[in-house]
Amino acid sequence: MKQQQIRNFCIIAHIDHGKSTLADRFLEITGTLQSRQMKAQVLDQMDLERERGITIKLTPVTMRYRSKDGQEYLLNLIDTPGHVDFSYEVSRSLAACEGAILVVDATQGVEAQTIANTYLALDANLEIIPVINKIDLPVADPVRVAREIEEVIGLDSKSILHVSAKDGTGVPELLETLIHQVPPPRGDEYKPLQALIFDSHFDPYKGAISYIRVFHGRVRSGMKIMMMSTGKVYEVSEVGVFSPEMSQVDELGPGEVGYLAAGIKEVADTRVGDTITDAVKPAAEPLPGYRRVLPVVFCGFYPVEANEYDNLRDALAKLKLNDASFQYEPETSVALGFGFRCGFLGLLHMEIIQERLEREYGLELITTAPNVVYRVTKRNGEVVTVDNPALWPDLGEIDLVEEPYVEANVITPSDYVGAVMDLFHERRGEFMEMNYLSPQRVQITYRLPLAEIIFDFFDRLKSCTRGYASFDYDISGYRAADLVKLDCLVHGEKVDALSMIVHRDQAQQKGRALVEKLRRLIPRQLFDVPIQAAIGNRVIARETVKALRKNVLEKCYGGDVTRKRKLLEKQKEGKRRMKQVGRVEIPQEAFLAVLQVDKE
Amino acid sequence: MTALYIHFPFCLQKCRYCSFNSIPIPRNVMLVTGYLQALEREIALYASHYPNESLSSIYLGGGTPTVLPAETLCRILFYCRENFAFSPEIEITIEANPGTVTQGMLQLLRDAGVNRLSLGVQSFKSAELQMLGRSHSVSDVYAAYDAARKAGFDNINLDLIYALPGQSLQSWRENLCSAIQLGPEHLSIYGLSLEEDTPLADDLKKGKLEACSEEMHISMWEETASMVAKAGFIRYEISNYAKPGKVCRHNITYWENKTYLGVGAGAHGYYDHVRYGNENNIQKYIERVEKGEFPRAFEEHQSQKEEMVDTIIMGLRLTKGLSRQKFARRFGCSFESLYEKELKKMVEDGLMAISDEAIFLTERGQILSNYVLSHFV
Repeated sequence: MKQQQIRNFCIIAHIDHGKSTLADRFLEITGTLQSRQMKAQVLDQMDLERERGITIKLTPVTMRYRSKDGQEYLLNLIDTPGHVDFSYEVSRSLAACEGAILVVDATQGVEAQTIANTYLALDANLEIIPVINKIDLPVADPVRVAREIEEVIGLDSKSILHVSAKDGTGVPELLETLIHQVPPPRGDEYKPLQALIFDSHFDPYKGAISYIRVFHGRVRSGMKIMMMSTGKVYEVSEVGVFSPEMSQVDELGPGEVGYLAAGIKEVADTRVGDTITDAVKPAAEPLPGYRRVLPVVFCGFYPVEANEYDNLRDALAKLKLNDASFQYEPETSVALGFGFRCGFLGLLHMEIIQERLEREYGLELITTAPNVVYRVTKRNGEVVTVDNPALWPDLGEIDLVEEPYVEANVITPSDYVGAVMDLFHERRGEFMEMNYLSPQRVQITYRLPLAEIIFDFFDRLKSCTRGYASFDYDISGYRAADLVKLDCLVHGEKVDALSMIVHRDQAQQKGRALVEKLRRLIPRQLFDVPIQAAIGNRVIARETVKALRKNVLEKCYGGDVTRKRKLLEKQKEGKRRMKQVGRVEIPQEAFLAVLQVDKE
Repeated sequence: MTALYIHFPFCLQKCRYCSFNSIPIPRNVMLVTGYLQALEREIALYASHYPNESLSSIYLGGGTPTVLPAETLCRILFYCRENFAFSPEIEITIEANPGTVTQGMLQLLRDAGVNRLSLGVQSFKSAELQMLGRSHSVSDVYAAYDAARKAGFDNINLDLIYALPGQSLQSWRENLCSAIQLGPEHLSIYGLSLEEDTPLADDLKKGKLEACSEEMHISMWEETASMVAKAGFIRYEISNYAKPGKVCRHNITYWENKTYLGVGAGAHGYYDHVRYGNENNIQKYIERVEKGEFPRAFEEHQSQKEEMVDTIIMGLRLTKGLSRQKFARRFGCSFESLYEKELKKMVEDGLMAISDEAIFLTERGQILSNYVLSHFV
């Protein structure tokens, strides 16, 4: 199809603002799917997404649409992941489009995430079509929301469309607007091939599949292609489009969106943001914007039962096939045995992987508390990055410690400004700015350590604003900080999996909270169990789990047998889920206690 | 050969710590009569199912069986004799509240074949009895004991409770002394266990009373063992002490995980690899028996594994422990081979020991028996 007839666009929306439902209406109106093929939120790929009602990312889809002007258009919907963990991927998806539909919930208003993504879209020179959704709801307040869109994002409120993705109101008009306002692609089919990889997945038969947007040139099967970041060459075995399932086509030309298979072994070789070119006649330059994404949050995964180790390793390998941003490598913990240190783009990413391991692979895991990546300069000048507290250099060797910082944006009803600011201060935040979006809603920006938001920050924010605040952050580089490693000793043995990196000013308080928490979690053993928190050799807090001295059912006759057996079975089941550290049995929850020391 | 437990769910009044299946004796005579008839029908039902069974022991428990007239209780016993063969050495125990018995009554029971009396003394201190909500007085205890001796009972057990809220070690020593001085053949001694939704537990929750500390409970436990041993008793089970040859054979049936029939509302039984419990509700119990069916609220058909676990957790309560030979014969393999790792750990920790004949808990293992036993379920 001629580029004049192609429109590439994405939908920017906050969670629950109706992105998936709007996509469903597009599929129906364009006849891409018959209504009997429809299930709600067709394009949500994972069960997890459907279940949680959140969309991490929609499947891309190509739709044919006959406009009122009598012409047929090819509409390519490319989705942007709706979570801050994946902001690099968002930027690459946006780069594959010429336009974006900005969806804002008529009952909620603009959220932090939406603003962040809209700015990314503006940076990418996308034409933005603002839409207020859910106008069918009785509590909809499109006037207020329109004012917010105008004030916060600077879009003319007169150009805002009012739709209800649920009942279809305004959706046909939206499609017409899209065709008239979003510019067509302007690629050159005679230039050497340049195709942007904006996503990928692993197919057991075809290998890693690259999702691509062709900018210049053409790509067809049989062609030799090259990944410009690595120089690796492959022969294309198949190209196709998403309708929404993958369907093969002869070739993809400039402006077109589809997929490409080339016997690529793993998704790590088809990196999001990379440029695919013709291996025989390569482009001089890759498309701009490629960078390698690195995990920012790390934690350890250990099987509850040691004999599940091989299953865990296989499951991680399978997940990795589909997720190039996820990293793992084997590690050994004195306390937990053999496991894996895993790296993620953020906490949601971590939760998704953890849940998939448990749900899809039936594994029982012990997850250690997540941590960020620290940069430590040693006295000898050597700079090391530390993604595991257990590997923290000795106190005496350390010259300088730096930790990653973020700029965090919160949008909250003005009633909760105080609570939000308190939360930031508690988390070592530095105030940057505050803007009133309207008399009722405030945008607050703070700079704070990334480490402070990976420990239940979002939950705390939600609870102190009754769920009304939205939150977004951007990593803004490393800064020096006075950090120390807080160790935990149980019965004189250092439990590596319980070590954490804390700010020196908070060490005392966190150490006390940790040993107190552990005293309550570690069951009484046959002997007194001291629990100590220490920095280096200096013990800063101590508690004792008193020895178990009496544990007996004194009265037990015939009628008590069943009850007694059940009681003992429960006692044994509790034991099964414990890890033996030295002579002490430590329950799984204890390893997450590190996370909860702030909650007390 | 099996044992028979007969439950009488009536008391003068409900004790303040009690969570058992009992109710204050109803004024409605019809309910009591109906219950007794149902008991007889249930006994007959078992006799017809197992016509060749004979009884090695009978235990009349409750509640308080002795709130009923002695004639009534005797009638039930005669009824048992009509339906089952009795072994020549049959042990027949009756539980009694000291305030409910007279010499005449005890005489009738003795003559009807009851040869063991278990008196629910609980304490020799008025204030403690009051706190527990017992309906009898200290002098009732002495009177009942004398009456029982005069009636010819030569096998008497006293039930005692310690670790009461506010109880001092001295007070418990005095209680034990009083009990020993009476000269019973058997003592059953339990630490007070606070059951939910009892008036006593509520008092503690509300702070009206202060629970006995763990330290104190342990001191009392240790004091009990040493005082009772000095008085010539042998601890043969975690909470039971007997003069030589006077162990309670009926209760040993439970601890050796042998079969027993249980009849009456809320009674439990274990027979033919089935563990069962009867309906607790008296009315419901009667209705079901009248329909000619077993009045069971639940039945658990035991697997070999469950039977083995029960045999272990009950058997290790006995001081002599689990007979290695009997265990191997019953389950086709030895205890040591089944639980090699666990047994080794327990022995190393000084909680269990092995002799040529048996595997048993050490003294320390007894007070930590739940911890120990949880390794073997």
